[in-house]
Amino acid sequence: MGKFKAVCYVACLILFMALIGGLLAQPAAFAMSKDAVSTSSFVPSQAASTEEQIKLDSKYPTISSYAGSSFSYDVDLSYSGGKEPRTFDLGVTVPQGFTASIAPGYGEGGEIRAIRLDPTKNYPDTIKVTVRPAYAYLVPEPGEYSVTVEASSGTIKGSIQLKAVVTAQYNLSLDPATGRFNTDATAGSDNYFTIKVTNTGTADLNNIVFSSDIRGMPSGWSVTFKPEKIDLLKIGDTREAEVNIKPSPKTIAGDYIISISAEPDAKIAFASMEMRTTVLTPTIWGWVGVGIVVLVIMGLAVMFMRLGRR
Amino acid sequence: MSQQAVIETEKLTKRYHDFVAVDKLNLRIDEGEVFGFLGPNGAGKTTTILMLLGLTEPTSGTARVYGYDPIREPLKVKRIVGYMPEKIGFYDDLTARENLDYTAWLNGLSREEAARKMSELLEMVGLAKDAEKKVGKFSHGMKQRLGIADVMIKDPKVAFFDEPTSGIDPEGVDQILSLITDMARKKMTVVLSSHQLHLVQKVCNRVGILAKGHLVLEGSVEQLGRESLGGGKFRIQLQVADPATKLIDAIKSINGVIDVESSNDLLLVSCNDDLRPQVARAVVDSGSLLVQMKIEEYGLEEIYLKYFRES
Amino acid sequence: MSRLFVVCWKELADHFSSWRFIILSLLVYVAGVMIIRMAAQNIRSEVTDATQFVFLKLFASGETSFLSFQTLFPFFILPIVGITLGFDAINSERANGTLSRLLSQPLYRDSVINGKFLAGIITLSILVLGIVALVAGMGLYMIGVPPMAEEIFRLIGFVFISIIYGAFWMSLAILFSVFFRRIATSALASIAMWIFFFLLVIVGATVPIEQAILISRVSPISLYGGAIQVMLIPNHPALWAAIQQYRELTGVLVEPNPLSFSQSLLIIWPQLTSLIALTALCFAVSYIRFMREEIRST
Repeated sequence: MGKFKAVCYVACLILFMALIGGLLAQPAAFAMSKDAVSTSSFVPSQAASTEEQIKLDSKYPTISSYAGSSFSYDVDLSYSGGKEPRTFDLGVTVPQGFTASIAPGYGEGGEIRAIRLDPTKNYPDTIKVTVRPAYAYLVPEPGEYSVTVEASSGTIKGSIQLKAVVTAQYNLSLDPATGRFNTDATAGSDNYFTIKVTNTGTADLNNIVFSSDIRGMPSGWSVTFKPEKIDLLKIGDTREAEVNIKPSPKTIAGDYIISISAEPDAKIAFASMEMRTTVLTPTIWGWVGVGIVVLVIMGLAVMFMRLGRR
Repeated sequence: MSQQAVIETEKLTKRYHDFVAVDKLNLRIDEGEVFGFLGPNGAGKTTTILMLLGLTEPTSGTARVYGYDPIREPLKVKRIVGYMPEKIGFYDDLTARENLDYTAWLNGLSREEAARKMSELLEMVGLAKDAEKKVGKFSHGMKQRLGIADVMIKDPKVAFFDEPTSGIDPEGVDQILSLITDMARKKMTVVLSSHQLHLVQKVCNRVGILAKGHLVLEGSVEQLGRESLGGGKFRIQLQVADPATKLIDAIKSINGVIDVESSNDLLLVSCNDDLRPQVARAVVDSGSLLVQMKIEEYGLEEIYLKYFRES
Repeated sequence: MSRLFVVCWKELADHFSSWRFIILSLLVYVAGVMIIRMAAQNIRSEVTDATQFVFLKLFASGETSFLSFQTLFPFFILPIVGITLGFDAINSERANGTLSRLLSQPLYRDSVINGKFLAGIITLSILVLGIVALVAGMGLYMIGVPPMAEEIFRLIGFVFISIIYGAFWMSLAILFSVFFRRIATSALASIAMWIFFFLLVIVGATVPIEQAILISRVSPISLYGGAIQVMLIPNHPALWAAIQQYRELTGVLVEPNPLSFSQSLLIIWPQLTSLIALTALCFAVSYIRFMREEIRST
């Protein structure tokens, strides 16, 4: 069983390389070493020139990316030992929830199912394997996933195990529920408006706390949220919160920028928005002010009428 | 005839630095009189009036108006005295009525009374249709008439008119004089100062001539006339060597001679005609020597003009 | 007393129907509107966390700018109003020939000058109160922050001091109107005094501190300016300097809170009494002169 011998040989070589290369080697290398099917990229092409074989190799076999995004691997295929070019079937095994496609490594082209390899070429052909979540709404859980790419033609088979490390994406968005980034407020009284916070990330968020900052504004303002925090916000979920702005009674009427932010306890995501708040004169003081002005003008008019002669 | 002295002054004197405006003036004006204060400008007429009103303080002497001292009790005097200054002034941007109203108010008249009197007086002085006009647009004569209304509105017991006719056309003068005569008829004591004799003669029943602060002549118009004018148009002045009573009697007996005054060797004969020949004969008849004789046409006017010229 | 009221009423009526006064008051109220517009622009940047008297800021905002109470009142509005109210009080009566007629009416002579003075003060008060109320009303409408009791006290104090200061200019003008027979002369004399004190303040900024202090103690503009500064700005920088000085001298740190109204009043007491004294002096001299003056025949 020459093939077994070869495999043992390659495995021993990999172990040896790992020993010298130490921990510099990719974890994928170890994973692959455990897999007896895969071949190593470190095998010199001339080493087994007599036997007909296909080798799959990838320069970057482990890719880490946010959940929901796709993983693209360049896989090099080298066919050796044969006399004639040979067509290999290509296949990808992906974990549940993923889908994969193979495309030519360079240039444009549709999805490919097979590749014709020339054994006389002394450079490998490259294909691009893209693994993506199968369903947009079903974002894969964070974790490590194995992807196996296979090339076979008759008895000549080769495979490589690639690794997709799905990391979680924490993302929040904060918007006014009405879509309008301005609101009115009356000094000294409660003024409500609603904001909505959405988990746009790829992981659930816990304990989201709201906070506010009024730019350059004196204390005496209170900005409260109801609810004060959101215990759990699942991926893609939107929750509304009611904001109560109570400007200090001494606030001068005019525009103030209030920035509102939401942040989970763990501080893994952050969202903020700015609300232009127009503080209006409290109605009563507005009327009193107008009243005073009217009184002054009337008083003067009366003075001029009573005292002045014609 | 003289019941109560409305105005009485005793040695009333006013000195401005070294200039004596009024000098030891003794004056008595009785109730109901129309007294004419005659005298050239600067004779002290206005100063006297101002002292009587209490607007100017006398340097010495006393003045009494209805027994009140104008300095000690100015308000009591001002309440019963009306005064129309020579250069009568009103608030130009007030109407005639408003000007009168102010005076009425200052005199404590009730609103209704003031309104009634104002209409009455404006009618009287012929300004009824100009009542709502601003005084700034008034002519001098109109202002003068308004001045009379202004004096009358307080119903004064004594009214002082200082040169009420100066700078007014003859027609206006007549109007004003007739208004003053009307006042006198209402048993008001009127003191009128003027430098124009004929005006004074027209309306006054008593005249005082003031010159350089002295009261040079004072008396009723008839009295003055008798003294100077009323009795004779001419005055013969003659100097005789020995004026005996016999001679005076002789002259007095001449038909047409009104009065004879003698002082030392001077005789003053008042007569209606030029009686020089008769007088000369009487002197000769009496055996005296006629030293000189001259005749003067002589009247109040002359007396007045004499003082006028002097000052 | 009642005659004084009559004179006063008549003078008030004169003021309120004279064109020059109507124009003047229009100018004053336009200035008031300008002040409030300026204040509205500045107030947001001036009100900080530590600002206790927001409403008062309306009156004290932009103190360095031309369009503020601190500049317009001491230098322009009150002198102009005061002089306008007084410069022809007595001599116009004389020139018109109404004085002797007026004085021959049954009223005490002092009723004339007192009535005129009183009428002037009433007119002045109406103007000052009017402009302050106008600014307060418009300000209240714009900023919506009602005044606190303390601020109302301070505003009343400000109005009161302003009236006294205006009365000073008026009595100065009345003084000239008693002394000068010609209206033009008394007007020019009043304006000359105004310019003199104006320049004195400008000079005061360039001379050594001892002389500057001396000037600030005699010039009514400085007296008034200092007084309203303390009234309107409870924690004015000048005050901070004083607190610092006190600390250096005694080592005691004075509580750096804004001064209370009563404390502010104590601080400006010398200015206030000086202003009252100056006003009283001018009035007393004109009063005596008028009372002793003889009504001459010419």
